[in-house]
Amino acid sequence: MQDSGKPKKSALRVMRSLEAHSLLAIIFGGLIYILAVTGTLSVFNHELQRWEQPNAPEMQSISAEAAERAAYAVFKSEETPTTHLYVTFPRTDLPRTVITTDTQAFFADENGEIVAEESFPWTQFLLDLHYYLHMPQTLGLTVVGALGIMLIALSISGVLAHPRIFRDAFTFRRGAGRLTTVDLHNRLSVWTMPFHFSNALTGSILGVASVLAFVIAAAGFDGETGDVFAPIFGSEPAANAAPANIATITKPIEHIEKTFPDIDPTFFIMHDPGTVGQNSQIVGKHNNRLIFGDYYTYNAAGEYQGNVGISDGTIGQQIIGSVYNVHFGNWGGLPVKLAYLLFGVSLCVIVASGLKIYFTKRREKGDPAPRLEGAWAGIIWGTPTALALTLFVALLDVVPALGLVAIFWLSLATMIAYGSRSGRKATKRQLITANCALLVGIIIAYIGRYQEAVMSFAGLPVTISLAALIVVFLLLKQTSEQTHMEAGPDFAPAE
Amino acid sequence: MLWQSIGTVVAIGGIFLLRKAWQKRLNAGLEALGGSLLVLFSLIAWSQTSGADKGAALGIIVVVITGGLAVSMTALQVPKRAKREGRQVPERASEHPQVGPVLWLLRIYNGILLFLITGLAAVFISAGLFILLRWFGMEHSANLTLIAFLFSILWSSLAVYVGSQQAMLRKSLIILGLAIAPAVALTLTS
Repeated sequence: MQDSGKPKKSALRVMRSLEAHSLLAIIFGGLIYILAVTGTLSVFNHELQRWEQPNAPEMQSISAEAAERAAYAVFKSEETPTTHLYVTFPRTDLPRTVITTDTQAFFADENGEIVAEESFPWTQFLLDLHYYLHMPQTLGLTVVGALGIMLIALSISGVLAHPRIFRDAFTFRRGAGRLTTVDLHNRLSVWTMPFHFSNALTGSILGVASVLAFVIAAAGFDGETGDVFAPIFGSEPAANAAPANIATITKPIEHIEKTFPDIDPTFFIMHDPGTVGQNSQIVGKHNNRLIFGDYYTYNAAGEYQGNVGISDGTIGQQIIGSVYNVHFGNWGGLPVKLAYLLFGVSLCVIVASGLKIYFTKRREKGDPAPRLEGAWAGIIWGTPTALALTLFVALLDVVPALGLVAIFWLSLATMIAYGSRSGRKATKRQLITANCALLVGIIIAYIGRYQEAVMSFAGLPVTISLAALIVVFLLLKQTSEQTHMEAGPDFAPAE
Repeated sequence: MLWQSIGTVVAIGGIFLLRKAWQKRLNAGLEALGGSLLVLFSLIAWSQTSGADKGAALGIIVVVITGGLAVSMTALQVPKRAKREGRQVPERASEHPQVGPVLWLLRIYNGILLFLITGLAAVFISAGLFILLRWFGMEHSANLTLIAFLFSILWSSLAVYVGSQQAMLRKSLIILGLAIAPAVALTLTS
């Protein structure tokens, strides 16, 4: 297909796009994979929070009086006055009432009595890993957002490098070695593109919005970043720190329940409680929408001041208000979460198979990179293993929350180093075995710690899911061993 | 429930027709068009089940899962192929020329250009465009939303451009120019 010695323009475009695709994947693939795994698990963060504290009081709803009693009790217990007081109302996937201040969080029972401190160290560790990669918040959020943008770049370059995208829409060659991996990578990428493109886009917007707002504010708003976002999310009234009796909580809750019966209140937020400038907002969820909710604002006397407009304001407010839910998949109950699980696992497979194709091609060209390939296997199988290890340690309750961060990164680094020495196949086999052993350990530790609570609605679903995961890993191990027996011995790692 | 059922059945029908078009390969325009229209109709049906935004999103999930199932079905129907023999090319790692410090520096520079400088270019272009559209009187939240989405797409597109080009000097000049020009314009106008 040469024309006077030069490749055709379309062939050149494909070749260049493929180069960009490979380069982006090699540089960012590992971190994107960690974000894909943690993001998939984060969809179930409410279920995981519940599982970590199965003994917390659960309820379908809480009365306005009980919520107020609990919030006041926590507010009075604060040594340093909090600037924000939150009530999290029970919802389907997290049927608990939580009172939160700037420094602490407690569960309340149906009568508004404070029962126990909220503590879900592993879920928090997981969320911090997905949101910030355990870096300082603004930096971490920006880096994670930028990685989302690199995922978009991978999607764009992947589509440009795939000229037969429609002709191959249903092609799948089974048992054909690298061609099967190529088909798996391409078919999953194309069919789940609505998910991973929208997810990367919304994730990047959540991550790098502050950087963009900072530049826009510097250029047009006298450096006031808050003014950039105020027309979308509203702004807090001017503070007045003079002391006052704490504002009513019952009146706003009763008002929203009576006036907007179709809206589910998810949070009550009091700004500057116990001061003259205090005011309240209720975040109300609209169940037939993608938006996370709208802010309903009240003054200290509990008089309704109007809504911010995320549900019925400008189109920009409504779109931006949908970004969070579209990213985290918490807009359609369990069926949508399960769909996100499926698509999230697909994204993990896409990333893993992409680099597998790259290494196989290198091997076939006589330019193998066994150390790098082993290290990649260390990332692929080491990430879930390191997560399982941190969960096991968290259940034993022997290290502080920061210790989980150290355990995760150190163990992952060790597994990557081990992978680069032992080669891809051995690393995969051993890490799957380690993962199974850790998952068994997690279930035993959980049963030992919470005993009969394991059988509760809070404890059982995740425990069963972990048991199912063991079966999945065992099947993977079996398949992997069969494939390896057919394929012959591993490449020896380079000296 | 009615719209959900219609949406699901129509999505299955649409994907079935698209798969049929793929199987026929030649003269399959009618099947491809019919399949595409049915998929579109499925999304419209799903948008009736809830708010237009949430309903359509549910419809997309159904279409994606149906498409995935169709591919799985194809995979199961097609007989397992004999595995191609891996090309037996001897390892020649030792023959590789040593990667010198200059090449490493170039690689690091390329990475910085691809990840950071493209980001700077995208942020300045986006902020400049925001200020320009604001000057033209565009409503603030619509402007900010448009720019937030554009920023991500622009950054990723520039990264693809840098990754796909070999000529280091040319791409450096283009990306640095795209970063510096709007930054200067923003500084002068603010």
